[in-house]
Amino acid sequence: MSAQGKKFFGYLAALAAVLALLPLVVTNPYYLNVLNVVALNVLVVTGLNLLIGYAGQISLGHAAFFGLGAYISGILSGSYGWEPWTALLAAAVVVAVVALVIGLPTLRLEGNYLVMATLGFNLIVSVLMVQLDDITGGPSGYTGIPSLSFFGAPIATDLSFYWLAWGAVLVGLILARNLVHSRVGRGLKALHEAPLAAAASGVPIEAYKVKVFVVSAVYASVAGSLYAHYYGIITPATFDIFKSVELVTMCIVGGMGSLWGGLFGAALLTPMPQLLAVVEEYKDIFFGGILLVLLIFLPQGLVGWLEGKRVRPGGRAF
Amino acid sequence: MLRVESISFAYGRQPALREVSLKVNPGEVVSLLGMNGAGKTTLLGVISGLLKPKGGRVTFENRQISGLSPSAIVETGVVQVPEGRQLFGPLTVKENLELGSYVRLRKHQAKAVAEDLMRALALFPVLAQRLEQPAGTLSGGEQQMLAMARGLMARPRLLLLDEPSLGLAPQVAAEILGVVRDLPAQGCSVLLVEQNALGALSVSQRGYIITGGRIRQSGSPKEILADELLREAFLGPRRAFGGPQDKTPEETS
Repeated sequence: MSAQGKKFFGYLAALAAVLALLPLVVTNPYYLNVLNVVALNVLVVTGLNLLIGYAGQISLGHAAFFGLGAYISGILSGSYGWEPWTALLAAAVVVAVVALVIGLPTLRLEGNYLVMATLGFNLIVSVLMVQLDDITGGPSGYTGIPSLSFFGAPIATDLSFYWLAWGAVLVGLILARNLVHSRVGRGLKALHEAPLAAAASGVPIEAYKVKVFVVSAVYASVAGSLYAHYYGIITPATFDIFKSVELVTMCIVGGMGSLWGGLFGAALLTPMPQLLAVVEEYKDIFFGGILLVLLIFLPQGLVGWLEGKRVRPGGRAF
Repeated sequence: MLRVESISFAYGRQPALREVSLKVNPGEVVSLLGMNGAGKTTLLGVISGLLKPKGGRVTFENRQISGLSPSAIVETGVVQVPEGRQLFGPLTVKENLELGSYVRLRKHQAKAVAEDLMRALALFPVLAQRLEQPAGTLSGGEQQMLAMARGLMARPRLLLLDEPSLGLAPQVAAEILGVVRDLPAQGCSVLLVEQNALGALSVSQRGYIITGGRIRQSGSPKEILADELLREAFLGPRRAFGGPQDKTPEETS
């Protein structure tokens, strides 16, 4: 294993150890709930970081994939009696297909146009969640979603879901790390830095843009499904464009092009609205403000700042 | 080897190439000369598959490559070194070179790629001292060398070079063009796009002059330089050029 690989898995082992010990200290269900939401956001932002930080493509529509994962899994298990894990997998497959269909035309766009296209997609999905009330429950949401289970034991408590959610995060980080350090990952680095030269070197840039878009959407879908089975109720407001802005903000705050950036960004920003009442009331302004300040004063994000250097897409030790 | 036949291309409604035809034979360096906006870079983009032509076709070694994806064209042995170097700036010199062999890595040719890396470093020894340095921190000349070396890592049989001497000091430009002159001996023909016309002709066996998206003149460097009107229009007065790289092969000998 390379020195970079050893460093990554060293950090990962340290994270796993902290996560294993944390429930000994944090026993309050409310704080466990906050940690669980952090985990779900980390999962989405890790996927989003592959798209933004590594491939250089901006999406303001990932809350839609998060929501589709939640609604598809929730409805299949709640209304049609599907086994929740099967529903989660089915949702991931459907979201992958949706991302492919959306990605093929939109990823030909660049810069602001791509941002607008993904934003438009999020708006359409939000409207559908509200308008298809026979299926989705409309503005008041969809209820009665069963919990996931592990060998017959329901994952219904905050603590049991804590193990599941953070286990998913660890797996998600390992998969993302493998992708980043694969041949495809090298192609993504090239695409991010100089698309023309990447294409001239034989990197199939259009195909890679679509593939990484699909992968990042699947991360969001799985997180959304876990969210639905955890809470048992989902509402359209949870998956609107402001959620997309939050996710992008977490990605930028943590550090684009760093796998740990998603963890840092989500861990820092997720609890703020829940822990600070003043932030809760003006949450969207807060996230917008954070985004502005960071882009102006700390464009490399927290991880890049901590390392004291510019974040290199995929090039850092972890 | 390479045949471009009646290629037409337009940016929207603005024609950029009109019925352009040219060829590159094995073992040749062929210059494509012209002023800004003449269509040189557009033609390279069409050949390498980055741009889709409106008409005509491109064949390489008797196989039609127009219509193939850029990565598929790289696999056939046609590789472009884009204008402005287009390096992967934050990545190291070594990573840039390895990305040049991207298509071949898929075919599990790691050993051959390692050999090519040694060959590229032998061609540009200065890069060997910079392997772990971010490409963006290299000097302009070193960056151009890296861009060419990266192109060669794909083991091309035809290299499309877009303005390799642009913005370089005369001595460095001469060094780059010297490498270009030697490439056919290593089995790599070259289609060289340049504004440094005399420099390009000094290392070429043939040349084309393009203006307004049309090929206006072709022939040996001597024939091109003999046309005074074209010489004045595209190459400037002879006295304006004095460096060693500005001599034609005939003048050099």
